Amino acid sequence: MKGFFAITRREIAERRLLFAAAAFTSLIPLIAPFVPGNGGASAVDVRGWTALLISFAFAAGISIGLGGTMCAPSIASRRIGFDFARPVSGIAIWGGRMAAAMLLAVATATIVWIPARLAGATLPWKDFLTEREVSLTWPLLALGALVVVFCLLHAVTLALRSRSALTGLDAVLAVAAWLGVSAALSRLPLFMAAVPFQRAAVGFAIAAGAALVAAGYASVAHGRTDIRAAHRALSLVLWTAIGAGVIGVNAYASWVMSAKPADLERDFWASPASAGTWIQVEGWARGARATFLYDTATERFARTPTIDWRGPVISANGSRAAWIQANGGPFPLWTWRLDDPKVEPARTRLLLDGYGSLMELSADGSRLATMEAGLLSIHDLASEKVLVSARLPTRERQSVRGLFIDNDRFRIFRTDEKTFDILELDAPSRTLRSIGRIEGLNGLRFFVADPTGGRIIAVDEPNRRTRLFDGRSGAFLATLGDAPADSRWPRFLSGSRIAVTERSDAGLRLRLYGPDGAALTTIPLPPGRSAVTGGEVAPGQLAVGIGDEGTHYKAWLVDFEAHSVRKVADELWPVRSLWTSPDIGSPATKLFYGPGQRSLVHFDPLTGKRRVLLGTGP
Amino acid sequence: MAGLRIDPSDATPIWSQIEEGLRRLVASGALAPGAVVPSVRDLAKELRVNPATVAKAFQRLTDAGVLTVRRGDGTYVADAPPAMSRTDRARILREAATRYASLAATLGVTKEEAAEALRAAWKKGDKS
Amino acid sequence: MTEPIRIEGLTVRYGRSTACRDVSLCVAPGSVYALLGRNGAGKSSLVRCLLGEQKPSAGRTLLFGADAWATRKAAMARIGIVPEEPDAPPGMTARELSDFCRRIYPRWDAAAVMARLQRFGVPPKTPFGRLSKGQKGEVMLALALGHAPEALILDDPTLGLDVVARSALYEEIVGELADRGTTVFVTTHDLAGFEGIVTRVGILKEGKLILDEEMEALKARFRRIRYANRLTDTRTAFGTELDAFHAERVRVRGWGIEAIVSNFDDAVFERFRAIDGVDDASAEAVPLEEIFLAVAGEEKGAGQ
Repeated sequence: MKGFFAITRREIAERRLLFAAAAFTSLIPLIAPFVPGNGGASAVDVRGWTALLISFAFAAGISIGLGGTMCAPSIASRRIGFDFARPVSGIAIWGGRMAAAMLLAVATATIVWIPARLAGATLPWKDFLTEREVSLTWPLLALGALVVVFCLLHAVTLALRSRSALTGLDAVLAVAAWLGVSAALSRLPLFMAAVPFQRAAVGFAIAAGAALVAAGYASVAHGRTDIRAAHRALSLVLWTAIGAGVIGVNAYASWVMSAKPADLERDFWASPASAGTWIQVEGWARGARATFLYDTATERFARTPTIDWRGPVISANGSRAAWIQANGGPFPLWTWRLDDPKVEPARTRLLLDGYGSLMELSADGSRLATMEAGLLSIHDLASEKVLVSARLPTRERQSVRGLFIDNDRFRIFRTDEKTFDILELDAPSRTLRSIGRIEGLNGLRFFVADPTGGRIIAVDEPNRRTRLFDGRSGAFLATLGDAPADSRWPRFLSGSRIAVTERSDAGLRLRLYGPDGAALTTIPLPPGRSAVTGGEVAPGQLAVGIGDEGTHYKAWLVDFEAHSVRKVADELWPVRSLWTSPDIGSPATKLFYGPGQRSLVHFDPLTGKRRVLLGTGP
Repeated sequence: MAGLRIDPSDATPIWSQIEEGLRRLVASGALAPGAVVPSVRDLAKELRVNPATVAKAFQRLTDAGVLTVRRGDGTYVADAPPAMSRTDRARILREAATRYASLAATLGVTKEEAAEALRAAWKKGDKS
Repeated sequence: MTEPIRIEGLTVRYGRSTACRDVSLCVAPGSVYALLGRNGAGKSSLVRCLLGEQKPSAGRTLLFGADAWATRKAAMARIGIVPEEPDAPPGMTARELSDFCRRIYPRWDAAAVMARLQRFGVPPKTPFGRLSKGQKGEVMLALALGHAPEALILDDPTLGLDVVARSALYEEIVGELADRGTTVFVTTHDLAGFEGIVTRVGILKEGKLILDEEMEALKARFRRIRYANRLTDTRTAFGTELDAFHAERVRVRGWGIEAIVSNFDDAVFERFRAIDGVDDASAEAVPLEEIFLAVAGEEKGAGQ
């Protein structure tokens, strides 16, 4: 320790002129407001900015300058032998110099601040930060950055001064390390792993910084007066540590990206196909949002690194899935034959250029409709060819949804708050024509079409009328529910009937309508905050989830025929999907979220048997 | 120290040169009994030789009774330097004479010239 | 007592070239060891390994019985070093340098350092970088002695010094030897100056230690032999008569033959003188410098 302090003291004393320079420069912020051309900013602001700029210049300049001159040239000229000829450790010789540089950087930066501070200047961005960040986090980060800059400059200077072939190897390894890290980091955003990305990036930055500090120490302590040996020690430690960092980051990224459905742990979201056992399931796994295609029966799965509505989508018959992969574009389209256990997911030759805004599979999964950059296309997946493309003019704020009427016709609903256009793209005739529109919408909140496209339910603001329209012409058919309600969950059931839950003064109610909107029956539901409709687990038996004022949910079974409601489970919440209508009694109707949406559960309300499919079960 | 000359490159060991030189100085009376002898340190510095060498010469002279050491005071020429045995004296004289004769022969001087030089040296030694 | 300095099988390689090959030597306590060698003989590499500044490719250097590379810090507390190139920070004055050392060494005699500098006539307030070459060397010596080291390692300390500065240097070294019995390891080109001080000599040539001997023994066996050569009826060739002395170097002069021999013996020399055809033979002692030249010089042997 004695040696450490002695060297720090000596190195500072040798550069004491810097203090005078800082003291002299610190007067500049005082006169800065009187220099014309500062854009009318207040004197305090001008002083703050000027002082900050000069402080930064001193701190950065000293770290860079001394990083490049304190050690490497002394090793090259063997002058550092003066220290090695004394009873001082390598740590003191390296650390004492580094500490001196840091003290000089911090002290001069502080000196520059003092007069401006006395004149009332504050950190220009102080208002945006908390007290802790101003006084602790940022100063520590800045100090860390200065240390790393010092070590980086030392490493670069040493490598250049040693004039050995190792310098070339250093350059190659630096590029390799960069490629290695970016290989890991660049794939994480595709997997929606924002937090792991940050962790990996920050972790690697810290590792690289620590590697630089350690390598600097090794170069001085093991190189001593031999610059070649110093360079060898530097490179060995630096690239070993950075190599380990690159491997670590890649291993971590691979671990994050190789999550299986069994690793899903919270915020489950599932969307079943109308038929079959395949679902699309999402949740948090290993710190990232992960989306899978998953067979609830066989547990086969595929991860689909996709963003937003680029999939995956499953055809209504559950035989085929499609999704778009990669986040940089062009986007390759992947498909998977779900009905053949021997077939693996396959990348097709189809590439989408722009930001896709629609993806729909036909009922049998043979055709795919996409919309990207205003171009609506229908692809034939067997031949991997585009059957028809049409430019679909959309205005700002307009969005497009659609569904296949049959394999040749695609129906499009183009909406904004006020308008609702219905169009149809016909593949054989290659025509896109407008076939209808819904009039009189006042602030469309959401809409849903039945699987055949024959009917539309639209809910609009401000009075939340729920109305039924013809899916082809847009003609008004009926109003569902006779009173304004806080929330409404309409649903096309597989038997063409319509179920709506609503909350009004009279409490929660389930209302059942016929295909044309004729009211069939109204069943009062137990008290609660909201109610959502699940699937029809048996003819006339509808699962309903009712949430209380807190976060607890209960699953109830409504029997239309018996006009009865009975509770079937606590803490279960039916998986609902507005745009699909699972077949009566199909596995999709028996999917429930577990408590806190931390699991996905197969639950049969009729028998009460439950099986946790994914996540941590109750 | 006047009269003490050594040649570090001479084949004779330096300690031996110092020893003989001091013996000669004592024998010739240049260093009187009871006279102070320079310290090892000073003599080593003056002669630019290793002090250990000087110390070895001093040690041998002390053992032989030529010098005496008074603790904490210094080194002196012994009050009564012991007379050398006749045989020793004769041997030393014979060896020195042989060396001198061979030097004279190398230089190619005649016996007479050599004897004359010896006499002249004797006179000079008496005067100093 | 362990030897202050011991080198065992030291080998230093730089890529394909070898600076030191399997060098072993030992410096006894209180002795003065002079390592001689022409430029490029491997002295610098050996000294750097000795100072723990460089890791040997093979073998090891021991200071007070401990590995110099591994325990450099501990050893340096007991050793004073005067490097070949004065390397103190150029911006610091002699006084500041002494102050710096005072903070590092457990026992630092600042008064002695300043007294010594005054003796040398080094201005205490001039930055090191602005001192003359000789003054720099004197500062380095004063700093090397400031903690009363048990061993002193001097790497060509007289290089670039004038006569007065050299004289002062020898006085200081002799004083150290007398006062503390300091062990000294010195590499030097000034053989005449160190001749009376050195107790043991080592000669490095092309990385190998070709000589490692007590000074007295060395001087005893080296002689310069001069004689006039004459061919007689029984003596039709010459040169072989020197073999008994092991001639290191033979020169044919106008008046006869001059040879530096490394295996001199008085009795053999008497017989040599009696050879018919060898006239006016004489033998004289050889200064260390010439011994060095004869042993380490390029031309070697009697075959010319």
